[in-house]
Amino acid sequence: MDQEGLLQCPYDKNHMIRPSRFPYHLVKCRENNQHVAKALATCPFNARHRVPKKELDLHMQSCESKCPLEPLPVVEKAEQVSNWQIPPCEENWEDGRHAS
Amino acid sequence: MRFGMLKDHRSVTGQVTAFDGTILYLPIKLAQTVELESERRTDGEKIKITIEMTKILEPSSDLCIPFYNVVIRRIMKILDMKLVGRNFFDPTCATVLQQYRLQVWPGFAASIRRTDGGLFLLADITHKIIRNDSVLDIMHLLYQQSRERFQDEVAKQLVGSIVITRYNNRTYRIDDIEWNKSPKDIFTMADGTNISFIDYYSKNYGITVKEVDQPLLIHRPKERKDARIKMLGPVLLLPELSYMTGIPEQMKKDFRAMKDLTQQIHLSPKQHHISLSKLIKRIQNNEDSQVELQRWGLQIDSQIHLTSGRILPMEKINLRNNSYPLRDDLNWTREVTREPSISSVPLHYWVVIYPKRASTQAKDLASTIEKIAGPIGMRVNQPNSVELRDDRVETYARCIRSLLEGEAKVQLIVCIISGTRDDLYGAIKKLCCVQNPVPSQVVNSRTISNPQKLRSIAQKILLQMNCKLGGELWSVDIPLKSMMVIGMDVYHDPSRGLRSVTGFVASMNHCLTRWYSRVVFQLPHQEIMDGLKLCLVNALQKFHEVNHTLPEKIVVYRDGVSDSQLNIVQNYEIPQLQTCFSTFENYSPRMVVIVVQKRVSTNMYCSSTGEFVTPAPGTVLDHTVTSRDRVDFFLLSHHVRQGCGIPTHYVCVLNTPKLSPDHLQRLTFKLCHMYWNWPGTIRVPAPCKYAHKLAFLSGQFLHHEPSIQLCDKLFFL
Repeated sequence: MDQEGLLQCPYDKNHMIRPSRFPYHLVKCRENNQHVAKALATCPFNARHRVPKKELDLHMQSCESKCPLEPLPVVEKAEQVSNWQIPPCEENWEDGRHAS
Repeated sequence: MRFGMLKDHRSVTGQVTAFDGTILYLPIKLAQTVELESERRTDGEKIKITIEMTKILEPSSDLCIPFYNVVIRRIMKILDMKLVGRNFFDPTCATVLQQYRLQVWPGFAASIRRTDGGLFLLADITHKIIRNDSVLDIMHLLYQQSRERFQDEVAKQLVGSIVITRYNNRTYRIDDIEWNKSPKDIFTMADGTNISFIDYYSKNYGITVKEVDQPLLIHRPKERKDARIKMLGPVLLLPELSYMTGIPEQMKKDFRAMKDLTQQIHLSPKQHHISLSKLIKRIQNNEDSQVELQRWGLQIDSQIHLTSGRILPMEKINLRNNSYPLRDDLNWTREVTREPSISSVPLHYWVVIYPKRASTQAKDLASTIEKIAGPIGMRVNQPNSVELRDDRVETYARCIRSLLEGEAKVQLIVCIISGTRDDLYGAIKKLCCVQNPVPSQVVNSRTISNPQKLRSIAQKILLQMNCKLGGELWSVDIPLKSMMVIGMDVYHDPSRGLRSVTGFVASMNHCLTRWYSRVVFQLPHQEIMDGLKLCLVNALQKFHEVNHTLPEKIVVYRDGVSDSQLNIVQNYEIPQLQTCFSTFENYSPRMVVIVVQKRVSTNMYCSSTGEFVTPAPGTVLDHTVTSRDRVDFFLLSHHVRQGCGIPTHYVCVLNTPKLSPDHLQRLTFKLCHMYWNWPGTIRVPAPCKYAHKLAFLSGQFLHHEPSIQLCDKLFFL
């Protein structure tokens, strides 16, 4: 088997996984290695990255999938033209929920 | 080998067997373990075969389904159908369209499913389009067109397309072209002997290769999950023997040709029903196939299954001043073009860029837009017109750059281009979505050249422009409070070389008229999403910014997931979404996740009038043919003009707010009304369609995340 391009599983270092199967493997192997899973955290930028909880901050600083958290643009005043009132809804699904 | 050795023991196993290489299915019970011995034919070595009983399969057991499908496949073979991919085709009934150099093979997709209502044979009509030209013919043609850039052109045209080799009716995707090899070259066969391509084809298929100096096509087979099958190297094919499949790009633009072709492909419900009945009759009238079925005690009903669905109540469309109940065809073009939209952004300063050739069209468009803007309630000033000397990409780019770097704030750029030009379109979109964020509209001069149609087309363009600027067109009643609706889809590059793109769209207000969008790039050809957490966290932050509260309910529509991937959505994508909630204090909203499947082979007819016709939009079927393990339903939401009504399949994989199935179905149907590019219902919920559009634009043209400044507008329409 071609060893190149394989990724190491964070839950079991002996597992070498093809990139295309990696997410599937993570789900399976996490179930089988729950004690290891407890110590690992999932990177918010990329769910493929599972790092020890203590190292998460460090990882997040250097993560390759990191995207800059730019400040969200302020909505321009000119666009706030919507003074439209939503017509009252004839139904309400919130209360008196249908028994089903 | 294994099959042959097992065949030697028919006296033990009986005549009726089904063997897939490891599992042997029998209709009779043997002793617990049976030991047999066979001789391997290649080297005469004695091989011990142990048959051990592992299980008695109940007729409705899940394990029986693959086995039933093996039986179906055998029956199709008996009926002389050719297996191409997963579908069965009948080349003897091919329709030849000589003028377009095409042939259309009719075929069936047939499989056994176990559903709520028991075992069903799910059958659908499919067609395969095969071109009469071989890949070599196309190469010759390209060579004549441009000699210098020949190899580049060939790669551009061919890589990613699917070819069929008629000698064995197998289909392959072309992944690359091997210019340094020819049919004279030698390859190693599975048994280790070396043979040249010319000899191989003449020996195995009796084909004489005519052109000995052609390059070879490379197909890289998909990696197999099964580790036992060792990794196969690339498959090399001869252009001369490979035929292109699918509709040629050129033909797609030819309206008349497409009309001829769609007549062949789109069957009315009546024709569809007749074809399926014919298939069943063929199975029943063929003795061999009957024997095959009876050996296993199977029987196929002679009629298609009838069951009763229901039609969801009609919605009403809310515009700024009035609400309109819908007509039967579920189209409200008239209303949206004559009545003010919910909100519109006044267009003070905008620019129309056009090449000299299209100056009359550009002026006509601008004056028409001025006339029609009044009724839809939009204030539009006269545009600044910029005439270009020529229509080179560079000319457009320079003009756009100078406009956007200027002092004045340009609200919108309209570019008129002649013909469909992907390179120019891509360049404009890259400039306006990534580098200098500004809403942009590209118009093909051909579409606005017919004066009679100009008015209605200008209306569509103006509505679209309003959306891109941040206006809102229409809404429907949403009887749920504090809810966020999310749509997710993935775009894959057809040649598989570029990264796949996740499109993520989330609603920002109660009436679902404001949307927030994000894009995440991931590995080529990867369907499962990795970067969802950030998308949702940002969407929730934005939601809070707009509404000063977080949504109590989140409804996610996930498009493009097959049945086998449902599990991974549940265990990989949903956790990513759920971990977002802890980012906010005391926040635990309830969440619904619905998987949307468009490519289903389920068809619905309506037989209420005694004849089979397409069902009305809003028809729902949530029993009998649905899955036994999950909450799912089929909904036909769009108005069907041509062909059969193919419903969309929705599978609910998570439902913590415990919305009733009725409400799930109705909410889904409501969302199918909300796609602002089309004043009618569409096949999928609007957020899915928006996510698809966004992912497509980013993957196909931008190759980069669009600027964050555009994320609160529907710039990708």
